[in-house]
Amino acid sequence: MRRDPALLRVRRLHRGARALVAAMLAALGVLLSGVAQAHAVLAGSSPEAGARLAHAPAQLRLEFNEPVSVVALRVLDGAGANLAGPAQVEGGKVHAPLAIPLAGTGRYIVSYRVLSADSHPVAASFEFAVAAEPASQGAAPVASPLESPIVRDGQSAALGAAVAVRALFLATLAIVVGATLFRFVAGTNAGTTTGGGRGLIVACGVGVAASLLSIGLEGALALGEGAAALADAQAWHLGYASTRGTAALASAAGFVCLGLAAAATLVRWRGFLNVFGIVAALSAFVLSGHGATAEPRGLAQVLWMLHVLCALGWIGSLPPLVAALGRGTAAARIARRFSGRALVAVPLLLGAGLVMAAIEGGAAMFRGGFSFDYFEVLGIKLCLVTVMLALALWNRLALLPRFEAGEAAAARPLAWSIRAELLLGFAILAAAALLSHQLPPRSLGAVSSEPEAAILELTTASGSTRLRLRAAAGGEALLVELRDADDRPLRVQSLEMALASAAAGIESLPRELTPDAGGGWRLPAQSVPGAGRWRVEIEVLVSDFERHTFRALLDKGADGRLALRGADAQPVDADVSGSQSKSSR
Amino acid sequence: MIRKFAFFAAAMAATLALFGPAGRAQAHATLDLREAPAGSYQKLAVRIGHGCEGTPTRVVRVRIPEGVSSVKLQPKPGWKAGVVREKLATPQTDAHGKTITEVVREAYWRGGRLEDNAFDEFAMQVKLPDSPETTLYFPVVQECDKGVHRWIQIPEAGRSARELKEPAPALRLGAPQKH
Repeated sequence: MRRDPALLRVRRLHRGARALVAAMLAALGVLLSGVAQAHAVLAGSSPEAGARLAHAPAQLRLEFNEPVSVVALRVLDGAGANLAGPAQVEGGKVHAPLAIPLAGTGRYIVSYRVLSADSHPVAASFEFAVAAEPASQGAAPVASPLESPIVRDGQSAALGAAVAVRALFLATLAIVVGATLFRFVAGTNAGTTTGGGRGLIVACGVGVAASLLSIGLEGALALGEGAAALADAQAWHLGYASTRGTAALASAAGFVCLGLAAAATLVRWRGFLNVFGIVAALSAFVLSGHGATAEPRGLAQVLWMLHVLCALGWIGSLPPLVAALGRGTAAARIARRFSGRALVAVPLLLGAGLVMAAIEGGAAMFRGGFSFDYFEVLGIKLCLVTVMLALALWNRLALLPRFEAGEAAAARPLAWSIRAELLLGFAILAAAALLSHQLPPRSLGAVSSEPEAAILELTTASGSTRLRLRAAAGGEALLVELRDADDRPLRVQSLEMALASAAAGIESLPRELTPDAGGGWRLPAQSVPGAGRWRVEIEVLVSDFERHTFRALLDKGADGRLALRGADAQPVDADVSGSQSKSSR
Repeated sequence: MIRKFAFFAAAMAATLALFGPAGRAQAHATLDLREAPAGSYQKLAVRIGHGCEGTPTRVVRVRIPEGVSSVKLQPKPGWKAGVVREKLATPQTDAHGKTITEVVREAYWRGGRLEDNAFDEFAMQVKLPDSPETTLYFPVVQECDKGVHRWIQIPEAGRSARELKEPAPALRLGAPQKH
């Protein structure tokens, strides 16, 4: 057989593309399977944790047991201002100059977040005090830090950018997935002629960019900094180490595959690339974000992917549908087939969406005390969906039969109606992007409508240990009680509490509990460093081999009163593994 | 066609490897085995990968889960190995017809020194309970010159141990061995 040079060229391209895909997968594999070694721990510091100094230190030194890179280092004074200068790192030793005025008496909080060699974040806080008088005269008035709530400038801009990038990501994914599914649904042999091929490749490029950008933005948000932090390698490092990093890489890989599938030279691999691309892109939705953490996890993940696939497929199919309307006789057949598929997809989409909303809204929806923001945005999204459904129904019942009957006049209103539907679709995607950055009520747990009287009871799965939390009347302290399965006071080896606040930039700060007259413990309001929302983590060591961790949310008002805000479903520490996949073994 | 299929399979395997369980957990205290036949005699070794806060390990204590019997420790030079026994409320009869009045609740190794930058294994021989398709947890307390690691967290039903900070070493019991 004579070798056709054109055929050879195509073959070579195939080989090249295959090698590219293989290399991409291998690179991803190496990136994602970072094997965790021992994490860095703080071996020493100056000033030491809990130290009470006579004079303000000019420098902060932290010493870790292994080389680290610093993500965030803050030394906060009573007003919540950061007094630490830029940190210098030599292996495991970190130095930072401190700008504490000589007469700066008071309590200071050192909050650090570093990455150990395995790119695992390690974060904690500790306190030291500077007293004008020697430490022996402990009565020296020491102002509690952070008595005013802290609002970070620039954070809202980063949040806005993250939402915009998310919306862009959803829109491009809808266009690409929709075009791919439309070809399949419409049954047009548009495979070889790539009418929208170039446009799709561009869309995939935008999608890859949006995916990768979301890594940096996630990092910037985690750092508590504005969008300017994108210029900071630490933001990228941190974003990469988060679940969003894994998800973004998965969606970027999906876009690359879909883009390759749209390229005319890869006809043979198109089917596989399309399937792999869509699955990889969809997996991003359950690797990170609300879809990754909702319970029951397996069901939620399947529902979530189904919801996303149907939604993106529907919205994204509309542009090629409008284009197909101009194609004469075939148009009516394509429109009918599309409409038929939508009859299956839309109920799936709505059903899965409603179940997910119920899971996210949690029991809070029925208890009446819910986070307003989340439901506000969800409400807007549902209104848009209702209008879009009405339009689609009108298309199907009124316009489509006329179009099929050959009424030329029906083509224009149908096309315009579909365009309106598309516009609504993009608005819905924007609302979805906004939703993805709202905290669903389920993560706020059982929110009580009467914070003053709130008693929060947290129980271990076996019921062997119960932790009862209560704000003292007047909110001047948080009361902690431990009970066993028979509601008798439980004796334990140790009880440790730590507070953290993302808004104030304070990592897990250990707090001492004082024994209470009633056999429990109390955390005085003064021990909570400042106003705002705090994550409380309580670790109970019942016996040498039995330990439980309880989490709750605590508010300190501007008036200094404490109020419980329910259980906290979100882990406090960043020590969550990068992959959220459920172990089936 | 075969090549196409092979490539497809390879790509799917790569996908699973990517998004499936990623290999980590080297930092934790683990067992050298992940799975063993139910009802079998097994050598199990607890692997300690690092000290606490950079200081050397001095004591390793292992809680023996219920149902595990015939515990024997492998002597370890430089360490004093021993067990803590607990009397049973109701005596039981073992497979050989002997009456058992007490069980081993804890195995320990003391008095040695394992540097933070080294790892070591602490081995024992046990008879596993005859209950296939269950998971046994061997909580470990590691005491160092400074600080303690408690590898004692047991995942809640439906949760992954990977979400835990200090998970207890786990052993999955498989189908019983044919004699």
